[in-house]
Amino acid sequence: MARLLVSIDARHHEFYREMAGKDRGKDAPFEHMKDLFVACAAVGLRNGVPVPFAKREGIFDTNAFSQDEWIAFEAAYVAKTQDLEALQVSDRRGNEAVLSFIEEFANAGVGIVKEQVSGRRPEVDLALLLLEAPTTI
Amino acid sequence: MILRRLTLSNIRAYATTATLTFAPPGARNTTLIHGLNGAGKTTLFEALNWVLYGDIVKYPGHLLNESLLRSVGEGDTITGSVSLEFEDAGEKYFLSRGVVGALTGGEVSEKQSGVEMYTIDALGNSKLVKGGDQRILQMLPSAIRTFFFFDGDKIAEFTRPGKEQDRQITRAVNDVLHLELLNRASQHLGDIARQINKKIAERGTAEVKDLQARLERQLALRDQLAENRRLIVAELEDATVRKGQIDHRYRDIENVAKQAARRSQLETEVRVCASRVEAAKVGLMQANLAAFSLPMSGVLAEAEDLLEEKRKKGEIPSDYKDQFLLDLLEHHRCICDRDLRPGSDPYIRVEQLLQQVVPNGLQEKALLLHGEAKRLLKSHDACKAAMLRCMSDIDSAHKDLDALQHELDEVNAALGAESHTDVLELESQRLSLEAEIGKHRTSLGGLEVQIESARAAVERLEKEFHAESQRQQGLKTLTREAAIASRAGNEIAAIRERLIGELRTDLSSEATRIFKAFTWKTDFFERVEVGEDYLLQLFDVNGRDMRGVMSMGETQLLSLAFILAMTAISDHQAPLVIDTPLARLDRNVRLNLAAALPDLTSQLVLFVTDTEMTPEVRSSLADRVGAEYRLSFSDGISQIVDGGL
Repeated sequence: MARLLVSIDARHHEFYREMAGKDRGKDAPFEHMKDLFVACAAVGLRNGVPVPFAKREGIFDTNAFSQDEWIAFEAAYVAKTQDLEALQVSDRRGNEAVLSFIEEFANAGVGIVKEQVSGRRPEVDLALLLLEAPTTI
Repeated sequence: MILRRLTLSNIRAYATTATLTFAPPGARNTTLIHGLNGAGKTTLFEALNWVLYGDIVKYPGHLLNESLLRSVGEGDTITGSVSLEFEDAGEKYFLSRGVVGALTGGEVSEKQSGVEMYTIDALGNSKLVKGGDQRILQMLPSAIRTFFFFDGDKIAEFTRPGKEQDRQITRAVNDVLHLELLNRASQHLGDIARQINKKIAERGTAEVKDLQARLERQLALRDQLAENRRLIVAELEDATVRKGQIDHRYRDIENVAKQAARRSQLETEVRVCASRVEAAKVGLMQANLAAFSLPMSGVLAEAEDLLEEKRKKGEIPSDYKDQFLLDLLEHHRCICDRDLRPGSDPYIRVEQLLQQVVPNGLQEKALLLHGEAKRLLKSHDACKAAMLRCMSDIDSAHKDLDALQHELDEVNAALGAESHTDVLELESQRLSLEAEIGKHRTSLGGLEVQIESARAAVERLEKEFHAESQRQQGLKTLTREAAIASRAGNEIAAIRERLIGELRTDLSSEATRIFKAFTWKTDFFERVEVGEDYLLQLFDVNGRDMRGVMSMGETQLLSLAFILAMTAISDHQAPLVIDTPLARLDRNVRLNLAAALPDLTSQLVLFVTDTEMTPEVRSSLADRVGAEYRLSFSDGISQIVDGGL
């Protein structure tokens, strides 16, 4: 897989820093910004409507993704575009296509995560969001 | 006495006419009147006292409705009244008192009229009763009624520790048994005997004079010793109460040591539990990471379906098919001998098929993606289970932590209050009180001997004096009179002592029975005693005097038990009318009291605040309430609203 820079909308950078930053210490619900990005992408994909960026800002590179995460992104890409060509490992353009597809869904999901993972127990809020549970415990 | 109906007109906040019909004696003998503070409960309570006895404790000189008073013009008058229908000894009575208010020279004044009392016969005819006030006092003497009609203040009177409480109880016992009369009679006869003795001495010989002087000194000594004894008993009791309080403080200190150990244990448990919370949070964060694809289950399933379809169509794996089609195109002939020359229909068809096949380089990736999408989907159940387990762990750890923290806060609060306890100071006070008690007991023992000796000396001197005066002509009659007066005085004093003894026994046993019906700690408290000099004492099962160590609620309950025991032994039949009796009691006692009160009287009237009237209290009283009223108050006017029974 080609090494690419993963971007988010610049206006969400502060939120990424806050949720995964060292300032928050051990209370931070995400260890890395990548983890937050993955959660945003997954939630965005569930809602099904990508949101284009206003202003891109690269925050980490694709090497940060685990194999499972990238495969899940590729599967989502294939399901939505039916474009198998992009699966070519050596094809940088294919990787870029998958990444920009996912970035827009992550951009769609960040608002939902921001809204729902804000209580006193963010890890529980996140779990409930991933589980699609309507209430908090 | 059985209360039937109370009617108020223009009294206090009752601006018009308000009527209250009381529940009659029987299974549902309780009249329940409830409302917020200030809704008019105390006015009704006071109105009942006023119509019967003519005295108003809380609002003297302010009986009439204030808004009516404000509207009255110079020279005009307004009237108010309270009337009561009741029965006593099978006879029906109507009782009424009125009040007239007038504005004179800009000043409002109220004038109360006397009582009007009528008997009502079976046909409803009324007949004026002369001396209504006296008739009421015969039915229920004023001193006694305070035990039948009372409020929280009355209960509080008996709860104040020390001499005031003792005086209150002494007065109460004297009132019930008419002991004042016996006291006065005994004292009066003693005084008569002493005056006659003086007359005898004036006319008697030198020896008679000498004997009378010695007798008088001995009598003075006996009285002085009795007074000393009374003072020492009071001081002894006082010291005993104070020592009881110190013992209680000691028990608190023992508790402090236990509490401190518990705090240390709790602090460790809180730390362990906080670690559990953190571990469970980390566990959930990891579970969340592993479950990143949960929201993507829809698209993963779509991908799986797409790739599965391609696999079924043979589009993946593709290499064998790809090679086969290329061979066909290369040799221009199929194994079925069909011609495949370029440009022919079969050739074009094969070319199209070749284009649909997944390129060879992608087939592995497509197969991998198909398998991985399937695997991720399969992992979702395990992910969900792990997340739910971690959330449950967090929840449970948080609950445990909250409970531990709550207990720790309580222990800290309790220890905070005890932190300034000076154990040495307490020990010093205790030793000093023990010494004081020992000294009083010794003095008391010595005094008892001296009093006995003084009594014997008085008796001996009296005999000698009377024998000597008998021998002298002209003094025989006086001597006989003095002897009779002295003997009668002593007899009355003895009767008084016997009556007090019996009353104390009856009162103690009745108060014990009532107290036990109220308290929930029946296994802890053993008996109530009205001690010497009428001290109200409560003993636990180990025989320890609990005075000074009881909680405020228990003290209130003891007072209430005493008041109700007084009504039981007073031999007067009257309803119990109690204003706000439950306010300071805790839940268990409140419920016990609500359940037990209706059985302690033939007719019960309870004025309670809405705060006292909890659903549990209501439920506890439900089967005993025969009439219920809610008092409402708005725009300065109180109204009695029928509670629906």
